[in-house]
Amino acid sequence: MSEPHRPGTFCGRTRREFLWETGGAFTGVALAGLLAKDGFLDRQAMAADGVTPFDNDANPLAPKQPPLIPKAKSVIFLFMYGGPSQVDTFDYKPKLYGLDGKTIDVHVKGRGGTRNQGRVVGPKWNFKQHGESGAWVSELFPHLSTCVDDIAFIKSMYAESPLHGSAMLMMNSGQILSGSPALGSWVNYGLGSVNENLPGFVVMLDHTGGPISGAKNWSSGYMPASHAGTVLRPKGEPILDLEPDAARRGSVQRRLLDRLRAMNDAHASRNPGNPDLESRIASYELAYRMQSTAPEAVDLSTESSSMRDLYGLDDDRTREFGRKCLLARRLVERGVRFIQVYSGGNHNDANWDAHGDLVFNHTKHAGATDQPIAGLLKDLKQRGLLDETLVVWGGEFGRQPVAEYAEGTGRDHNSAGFTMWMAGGGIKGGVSVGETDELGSAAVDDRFHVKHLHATILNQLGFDPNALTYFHAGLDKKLVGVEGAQPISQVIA
Amino acid sequence: MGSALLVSVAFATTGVFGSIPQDDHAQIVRASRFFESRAWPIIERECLRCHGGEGRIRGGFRIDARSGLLVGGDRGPAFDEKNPEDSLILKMISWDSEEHQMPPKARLSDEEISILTEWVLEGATWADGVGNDVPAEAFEAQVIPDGGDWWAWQPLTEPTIPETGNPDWVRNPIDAFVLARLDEAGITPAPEADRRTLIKRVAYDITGLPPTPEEVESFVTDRNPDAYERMIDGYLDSPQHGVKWARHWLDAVRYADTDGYERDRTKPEAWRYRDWVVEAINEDKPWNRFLVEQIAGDELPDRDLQTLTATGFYRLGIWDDEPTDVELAKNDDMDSIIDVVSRGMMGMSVACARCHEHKRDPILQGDYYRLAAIFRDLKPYKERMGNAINANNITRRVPNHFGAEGEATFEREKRRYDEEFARAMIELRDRSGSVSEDLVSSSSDDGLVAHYPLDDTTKGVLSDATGRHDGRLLDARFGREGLDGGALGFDGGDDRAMIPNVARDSFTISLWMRTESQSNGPDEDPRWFRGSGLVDGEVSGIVNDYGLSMIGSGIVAAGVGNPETFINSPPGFNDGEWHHIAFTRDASTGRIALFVDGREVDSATGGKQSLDSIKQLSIGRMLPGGGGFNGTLDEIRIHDRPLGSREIAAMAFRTRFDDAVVEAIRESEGEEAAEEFNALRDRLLAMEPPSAETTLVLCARGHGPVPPGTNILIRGDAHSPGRAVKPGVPAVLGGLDFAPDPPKHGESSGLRLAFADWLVEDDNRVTWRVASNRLWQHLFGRGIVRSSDDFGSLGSRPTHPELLDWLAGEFVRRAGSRREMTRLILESSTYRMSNRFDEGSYNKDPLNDLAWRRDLRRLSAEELRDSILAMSGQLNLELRGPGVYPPLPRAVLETASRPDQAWGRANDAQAGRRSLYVFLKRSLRHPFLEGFDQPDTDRPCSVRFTTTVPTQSLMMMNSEFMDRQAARFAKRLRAESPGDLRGQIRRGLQLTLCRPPSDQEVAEIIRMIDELQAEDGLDPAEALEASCVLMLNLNEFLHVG
Repeated sequence: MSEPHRPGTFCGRTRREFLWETGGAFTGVALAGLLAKDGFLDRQAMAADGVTPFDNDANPLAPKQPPLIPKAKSVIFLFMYGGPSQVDTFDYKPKLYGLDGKTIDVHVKGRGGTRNQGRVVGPKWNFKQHGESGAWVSELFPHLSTCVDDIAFIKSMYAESPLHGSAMLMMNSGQILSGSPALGSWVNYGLGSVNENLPGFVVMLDHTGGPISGAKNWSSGYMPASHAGTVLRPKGEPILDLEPDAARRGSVQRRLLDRLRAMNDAHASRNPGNPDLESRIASYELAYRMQSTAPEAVDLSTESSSMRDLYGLDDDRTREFGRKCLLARRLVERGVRFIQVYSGGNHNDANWDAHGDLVFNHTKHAGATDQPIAGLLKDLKQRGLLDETLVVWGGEFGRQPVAEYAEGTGRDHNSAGFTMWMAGGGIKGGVSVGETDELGSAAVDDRFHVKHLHATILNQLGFDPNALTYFHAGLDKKLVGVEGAQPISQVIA
Repeated sequence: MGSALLVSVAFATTGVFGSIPQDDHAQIVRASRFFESRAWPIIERECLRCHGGEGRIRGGFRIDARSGLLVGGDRGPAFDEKNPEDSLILKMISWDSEEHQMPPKARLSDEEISILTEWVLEGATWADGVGNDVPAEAFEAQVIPDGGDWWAWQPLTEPTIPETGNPDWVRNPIDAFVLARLDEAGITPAPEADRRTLIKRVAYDITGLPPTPEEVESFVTDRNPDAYERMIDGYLDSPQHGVKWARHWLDAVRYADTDGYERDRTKPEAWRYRDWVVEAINEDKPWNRFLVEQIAGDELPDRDLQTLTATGFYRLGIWDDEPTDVELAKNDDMDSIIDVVSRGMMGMSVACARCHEHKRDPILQGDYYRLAAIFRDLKPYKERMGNAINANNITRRVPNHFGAEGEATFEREKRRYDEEFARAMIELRDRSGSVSEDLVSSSSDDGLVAHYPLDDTTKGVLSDATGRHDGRLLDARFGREGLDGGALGFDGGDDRAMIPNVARDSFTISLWMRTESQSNGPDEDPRWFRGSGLVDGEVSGIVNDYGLSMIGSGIVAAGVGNPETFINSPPGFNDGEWHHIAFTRDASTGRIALFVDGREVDSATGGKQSLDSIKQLSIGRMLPGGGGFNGTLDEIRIHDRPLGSREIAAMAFRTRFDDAVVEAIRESEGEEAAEEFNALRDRLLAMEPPSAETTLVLCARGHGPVPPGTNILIRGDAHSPGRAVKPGVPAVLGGLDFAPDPPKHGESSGLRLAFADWLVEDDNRVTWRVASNRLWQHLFGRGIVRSSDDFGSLGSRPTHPELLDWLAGEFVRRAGSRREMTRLILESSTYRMSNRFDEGSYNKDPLNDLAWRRDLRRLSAEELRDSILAMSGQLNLELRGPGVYPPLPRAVLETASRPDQAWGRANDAQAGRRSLYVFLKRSLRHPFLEGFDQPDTDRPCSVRFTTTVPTQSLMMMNSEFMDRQAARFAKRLRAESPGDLRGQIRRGLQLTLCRPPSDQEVAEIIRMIDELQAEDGLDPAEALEASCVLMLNLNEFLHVG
């Protein structure tokens, strides 16, 4: 659908104007109430509802200022896909060790359904206190444990589903129902991209494959596809279709683009009053610039050997994830707003979903990520970037304190209580909020829903999470849902 | 506060008001005075703003009349006449929980609560002349929301065709309505576009494809006065018209080929619905019939295969096969259906009324649930069945001749066939009975990997007659009387036998079974692993396993795991008779089937995985430690291939009729007997079940004649049912109620048909406006109402309300013919305007709301991909069939959790199919189509985005798809003008631009080719390919004027 706009003039009605035009049916008071919070709505540049007009001259991905003063400019979300076990990582439950092998009464709900009894699997790693804050961290994270004074642990997270499909969607889009925009899409919609030569929302996947439901996890849902996450590959062509065919690179491509531009200009001048044509002409030049910007962003050859060591790039265990963490830092430096890095992909033990052998599984995934994540935090800090970069760590849920099967150490999913942590971006370091019960099976004190985590992220980026809305299907949709959510004030510096 | 104290005391010490004699007039007078003087002032002050007769009524509850208390609101009656102390109103004012907080802003004072409590316990006596007393039955009808004056809710009008100042311009009434508004605004419409522009516009708008240069030239030179009309008809007659327009509808009904979520399973046969839409458009199925078949094709008296296919409409949405909250998931599925029906067909957005009254439109929460009540009759994907579909709820196998007449005939023929077949089988059995015992063994030995006759006597051993796979016996006892020798008995406890797992991929497991017991597991959840094991390989979790069991009251159940796929028989096979059971799997197709007594009772298509999680099979008990079978088993056979239905029938009838049997008869009984046997066998083999041609369709299936009840859900909470509602239409559209009127077959309630009939009535005020507006939208790039799925106050107003009503009326007058309406619009001067820009008109109407010129539009994703294929000569115009998988870059496949299993393969010809036929997988979208704004399929989309972003340019310049197509385009040009570069470029431009290029345009490209060779070192082939990329990127190629 296109609307005729004169080049260089602003003619689209904003939603505000639209409401004024059609608002005859309701009173000025109601209108004022509706608009009180919608200053931001002006930026909903387009809508598939056919109502909200769009401004052809405004690039929907152009950088925008958030309504409040932001504490974070970028977010790096380290997604531990599959669900790490809280009682083996950061949620120290001393009583659990002694119960190993005993069958106890405990209410759990996971893949295997709801149960009221289970055989305890004692934590398989010892915990120690670290840093000035004395944060408890298990032996799984010898590197990360040196960073705890920069970290705020949220040990009382809960989510609505203990099943991967809906739980992944909940952590990524705030809803268990498929079809809503991802967190990164909301950020992209709200902030645009500072660097117009790079996407604003970047996803890096595990080398074993995507998470279940694949692209649904970074989909823009009912927003335009341009707000969806762009998959960035750490090796080879970093972004799909970035490189021309071998026969059309360099001067060939330039010549082609120049001729295209000349012919398209001639066409546009024969068809005045059609600004879409101008936009498309401009988009070829933007694409051309992306071709040189993106490879530069992923080129690690300029990084020093100390950087390689810091991120573990020369160690087989940490190479893959380390590379992505280092790339995340480079993308932050280049103005990318939201970067999601997956630890784990595919199925079964290729991710944190430890149904069978907990020790094998968590040793593998913690081993692959511990040093890179610690390296990332330290690197960001020494560059002064940690203050404006919010790092988030966690999976779609946690795991149960009891065994899933009659034998073995596997733990089933657990969305009733799990741990996530945040660092940087205006987050208070060295704190721990919330608690699970003494078995670590359910959050009991200061419980925080996934939407509170999302609200905190939006808040740090300079948004009132309850006012960032997108008009769709007759509703002002919010990332934090109909009822809204407040940020987790205890972790905000 | 003396009075408060007094009242409390009275209340606390007596609690007597309830026992006051009803005939004590003095008491009643006293009570009504108490109400009038003490209770009513509180109600008037605190409650009436939201629960009075004026303005909006919250929660459907009114308290300005005693009947309001009795009828109650969404949560049910507020006053309980029998037990006044249990009255909801008392709970609400108590503020004892989050659920009960009225009035919502602040709790009433203790004194006020005491007064209201006293009044309620006393019997909630009212007083004459207070409030607005009305009889209870009239009460509901009175709750008509305000705001009923919005344009869209008004009856259709018959507008007068306006007079205009320029009758020559007016080709039909459309032009009169448009010109009248332009005249008012002092704007002159743009002149008619030239013929080349017109044919390109019509070709794309009607078929989604570019006109060929030959079509263009023939139209441009056509001197006939009706050249334009004939050109239109040519495109309308093309079957490609349906391909283009089906896509518009598929957007609105959120069509996809898969379910979404973790497994993102392929919907069985969803593509048949897509083909039905294409066909409906091509045959110009009247719009009313088009809607009715989708909503109630299974309830129509003249239902047939096509109308059943149309009801696949209900099965297109996302579906979480493993929901964390089953009730919520069911309501989400319902919500999705209501969303599609209300926005897609009625132009109303009612989704928010799921939780509360619509904030802006006069749509009540009750309206939402009244709509839900119409569709509640649909069986869901499953009921409490883990991560599985109950295929019987959403599909049915239908004989192709299925129909009102055909159905009865079919049933009759099927019965006759079954009887004849059984007779012939028994006769064969009797005749072959005289040959030696071992030959009578009824099983085919082809692929037999294990056979347990169960005639053993050796302790603890279960011997395999093939000698390869002996098993162990744990407790189960031999020696029961079998069908053939001994048999193995089980007592329902721990006893079982274990055998090696000899079936991994394709197999048939068959056995004889007799039981009189109820088995484990509930009838309503017949997943095999919940039952009592027959032959079981269950392994906990979602793994590659399988099993066969008995469930509940004699249901035979079977299935395979990962993806979980279940099949089951009807109940009743625990009747103490011997039954033959066979479970087959074909790993090459993923099809599993269950046979009881020689007849197929169920089948499903699951994955093709190797069933390799099982180490051994348990006979007579579920693994691990699950339900034990109580009964007798005999003759267990395992084949490593799926046996055919005749082979299974032969086993079930315990006969054989292969050549060895004929030979044996010949030897023992002579030539004549052998010939007789042979003749009988030939007759049997020649017997065909009636209409072997059947089609599996994805469709609606009802709960039977009595629909399940529907309640309002308080605040939309799936676990907080409120008052019951009747099925019906929203109050603002007349509030008609529907009563069940089941169709003859009794499979459903008939509610959907009643609704569909209402929806397509000639004077329905929403349906025809919505339909006309959609036509306009897709021919002009925008609707008369821009928000084509929301005509409510959150949508936009019509730019030409009279025109819209006239079109709606005309649509009805033309009997719902889309084709005639399309032709009417295409013939108008309005449609034929050029895109010419005019400063003065622009200043008066910058958004072109009055239609003073034609809007330029970019090709849709599908049009663009199809056009590129048309240029390269790869376009395959084949219609129908399952979705195809054009090659995707490896990088895209790697975003899936199983990159190697994420996408299929299409050969070159299939990769060239039109984009409508590209498999629509929710978790793995075709990047080109998605990138050019093919909408997300999880929700309905009536108006697409049109974005312009650099990633589109990257795709158009650099993608593997473009590399391939540019190379083929170049090859095509070389073939069409061999050795003539100028001719090749001229042809290329003529194809891409739909007009002859200027000499200068050709010369400029030739110059670029020269430079590419001279300065960049490309060879001639590379240079031509580069110029093909250029031509496919021209804005003139990407846009329609």
